Amino acid sequence: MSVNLLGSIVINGLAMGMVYAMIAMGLIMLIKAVGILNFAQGDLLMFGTFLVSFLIVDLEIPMGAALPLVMVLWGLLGAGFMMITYWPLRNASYPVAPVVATMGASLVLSEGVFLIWGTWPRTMPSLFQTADGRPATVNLFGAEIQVQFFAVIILGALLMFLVWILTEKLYVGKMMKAAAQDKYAARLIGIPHLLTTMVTYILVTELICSAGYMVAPIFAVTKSLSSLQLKAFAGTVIGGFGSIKGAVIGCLIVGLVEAFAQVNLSVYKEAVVFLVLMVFLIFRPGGLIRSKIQDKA
Amino acid sequence: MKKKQVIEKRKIICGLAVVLLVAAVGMIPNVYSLRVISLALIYSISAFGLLLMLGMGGQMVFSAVAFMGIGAYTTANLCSGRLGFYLNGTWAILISIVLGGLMAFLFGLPLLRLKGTFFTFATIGIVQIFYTFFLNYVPLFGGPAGISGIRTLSILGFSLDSYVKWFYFLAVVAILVMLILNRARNTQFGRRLAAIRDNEIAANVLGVNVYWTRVKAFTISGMLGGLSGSLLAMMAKYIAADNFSWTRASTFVIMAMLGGVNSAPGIVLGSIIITVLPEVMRGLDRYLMFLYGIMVILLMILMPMGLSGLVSGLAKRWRRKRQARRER
Amino acid sequence: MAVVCALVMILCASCGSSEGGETTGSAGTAEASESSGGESGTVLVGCTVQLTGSNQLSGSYYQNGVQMAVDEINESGGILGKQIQIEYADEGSDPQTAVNACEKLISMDVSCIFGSITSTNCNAMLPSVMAAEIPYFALGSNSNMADEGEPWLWQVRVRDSNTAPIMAEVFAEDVGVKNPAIVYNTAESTTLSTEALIATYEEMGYEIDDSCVFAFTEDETNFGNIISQIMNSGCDGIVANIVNSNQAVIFAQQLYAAGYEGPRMGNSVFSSPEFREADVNAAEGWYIVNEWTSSLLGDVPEEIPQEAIEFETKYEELYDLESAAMSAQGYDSVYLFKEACEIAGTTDDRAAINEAMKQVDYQGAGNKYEYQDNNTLTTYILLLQNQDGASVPSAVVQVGGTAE
Repeated sequence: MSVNLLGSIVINGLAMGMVYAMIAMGLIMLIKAVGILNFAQGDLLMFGTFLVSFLIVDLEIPMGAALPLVMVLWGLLGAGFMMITYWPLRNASYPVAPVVATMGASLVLSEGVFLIWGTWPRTMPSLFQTADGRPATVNLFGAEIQVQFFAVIILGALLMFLVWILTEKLYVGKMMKAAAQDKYAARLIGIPHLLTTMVTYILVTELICSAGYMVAPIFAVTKSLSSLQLKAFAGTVIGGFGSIKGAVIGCLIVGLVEAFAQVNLSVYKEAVVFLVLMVFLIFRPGGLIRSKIQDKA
Repeated sequence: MKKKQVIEKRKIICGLAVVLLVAAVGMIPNVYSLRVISLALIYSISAFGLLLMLGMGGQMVFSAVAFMGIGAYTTANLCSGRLGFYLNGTWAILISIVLGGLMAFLFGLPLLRLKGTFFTFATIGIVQIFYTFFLNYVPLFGGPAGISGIRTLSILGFSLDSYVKWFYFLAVVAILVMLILNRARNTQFGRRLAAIRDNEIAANVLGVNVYWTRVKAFTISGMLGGLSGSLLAMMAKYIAADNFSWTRASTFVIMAMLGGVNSAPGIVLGSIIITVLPEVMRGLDRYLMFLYGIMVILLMILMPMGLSGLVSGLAKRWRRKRQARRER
Repeated sequence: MAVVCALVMILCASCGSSEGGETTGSAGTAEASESSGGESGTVLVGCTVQLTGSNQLSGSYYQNGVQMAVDEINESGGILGKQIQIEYADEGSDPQTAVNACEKLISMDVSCIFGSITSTNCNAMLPSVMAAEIPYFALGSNSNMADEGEPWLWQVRVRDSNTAPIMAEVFAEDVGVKNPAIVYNTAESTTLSTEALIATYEEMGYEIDDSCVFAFTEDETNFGNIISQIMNSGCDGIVANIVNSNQAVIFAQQLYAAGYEGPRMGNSVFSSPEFREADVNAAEGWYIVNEWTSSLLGDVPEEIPQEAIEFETKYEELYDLESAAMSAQGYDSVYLFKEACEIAGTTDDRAAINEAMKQVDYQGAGNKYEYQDNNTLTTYILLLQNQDGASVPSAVVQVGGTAE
């Protein structure tokens, strides 16, 4: 295998891994905060991306005004999502119920996108363009990598850093963690449950929608954005459910495995990724980074 | 003494009601409706695997479609002349059941050591792996074209060549499986499973071998999947990988939740409703999946125990009222 | 438990009987080749469409075309004086639901069925159609459908086994690409088409190396690796066979972004309106071999029939959208049925109508239809190139039934 090819595979794999990682970050945050698996994560990303595309391409609102507006819209999306799928079920006797509710929400979001914006594929212009309107690329190892990809990687790292600061350093983050670990005790101390949950959901939505926005110029604004979800799940599981760090590493691994598998076993790459997942699970059942918080008896 | 007689009487009434119902449905002249209901019955057999794992064992799994696929493709290969011979349908069913159970066993062994959510994800992984192979590996699974020309089932010389006959056959099979599963609830195995569901650590302390009980349950769910897949192949005479995708897996979970995950008749009802729904909601075609998603959310909010939970809740209240009236 | 059981069964019973009451139609036995559906004075026909699921867009094109034909015919007096009553059934997202849709139409005793645009669904419905003996117009393009010599199936498309060799000849001889890279997604139709393409290239004497052939699944979105491998190889052109317009857009965009300058040829989806509009720059310059293009309102070669131009004009007036291939084919299917009924002199006798199809010789919007072996009807295909967001036809190529 030539160096060029190897380099191209690695870069592509890392970039895809970063995309999965951004989805996974949101996933982990939701798991830790409210304990539910969100099967609508990919669809939230897709919906958010369509919103941005609508503002920028359809209504032709200039970027400067569109971005703050869309962040508000994303926040509303997150809050709405929480109110519908989590809040009524927060005391559910049946722990599986909220998860299935997210499955329903996934359908509502993906069909809703079709109903509102039609089924035609849409594109979004890249943030970095050359003089003749082509998306800007960089020649690395003989492969033309879009500059947008690097933007994705950088944004991902930035967001990770911000989230880390939020949860580890700021008091707000500690409040959220406390509320997640023990709802009852948190309420006793006076941490408002509704508020912390809502903040978590809004944060998660902003995260993944920004990810979608960065990724859309490369992958077009289509329904396929939601299919990234299952692999993000796989990455999360590999990393262990405990920490964001683990999820990100897991997702990078998934991205790389996928990229390598694509070269020779192109159509089986999905199977390869999940086989790797299973192997990981068998040999390291707690995931890469074991959670510090174990389940109670 | 009196209680036993009451229970016996109830069982007879119940049994009669079921027989009458099956006979009535079978007389619907519309062949198309029968096909839809038959399809629903087949899906519910697979969903019984969920009954076992989730309802009785407290463990969410998505793997039913994968084993269904194995059963379906096994039968498809054996009964369509693809490999150069035609096998009798009954044998194909048995082989499919065995293979389904075997696959479940092999996957269950290493994976059931994992804790709850991890295992759930592992089952998602199983579905994806099998789906990829079903979709792409041409020699065994026909690739995206699927396998066609599957011969229908003939038992003891009696060939199931119309949807009416399939319906009766499937109704009998479904009822048999239901009875077996309900019986299993009261065996040692069933009680162990329930103990694990309610409190895993306590069950462990009391001497229940959590791991092996789960493996057994998973294997049975694999066998059910194999059975259901085999029947699907022979009734539809054509299968393709799309039948066994992740979307279908989540549909099964919704079917089970709709009907009540711990109730076999509930699952049948849930399966029928979900399969029949798209056919009934004409004119709403474009909005179908959207409304379906909303329905699922509402279902979880209002009726997490499913329809059977609703019904038993009502029954309990009615019984309480009756008792209160008697005591007055 | 028993009480629950009984109550549940009662619910089930009410559910079951209401189901039976929903669908109309007389006793649908599998024997009759006589249709008795529809009130006297009307002809009942059925159409299976993908109204939900991933092919919704194609489904809506198809439905638009069919409905336009039905309305036109009804306005001008119907078939043999009878108005057409059409029933649409949703194929859903998997073959089982598609077969349900077909069975539903069969149970309504329709005179014919305008079938699926997906070859997989056509194949799934075949057993039911054969058993019910109903003329079925298939809009799938697979070559193996009519090979089985099914008497009731009519393929209204140019078969992939005919299209692919033409693609190869045009690309190799006219455009001059002797060593192409081939990318395709692993759906049934595109896989078969790719195999036929490679076979033709080799027949012409040009070897195609395995390392120049790239396959991927339908939901693949990242083509970076594939594109860089192509650009670093010695291939002088790209042929793409993709089923889904979303994926085609993504591929073309990424190719454009990578700065690829060589000639590109694509299958039918690359001339669809949604592909061209999504990214005009990325769509520019693609060569396509397809039965149809909607860019007919302007300068076109004189071999393009007037019927096609009239169709496109009407379609755009009616729907304010450009049409796609399946609109024209759906439209033509209805007219073909009308032709057959008029030749047979009946709208009920399905066997007679089926026989009459063999005598049909009709210039429709999408093609000139004549009976050839194996129940294929099409006789020509178009060569197109994308220019400035339009898919401009440059030539009309004759296609035989089982010609090379």
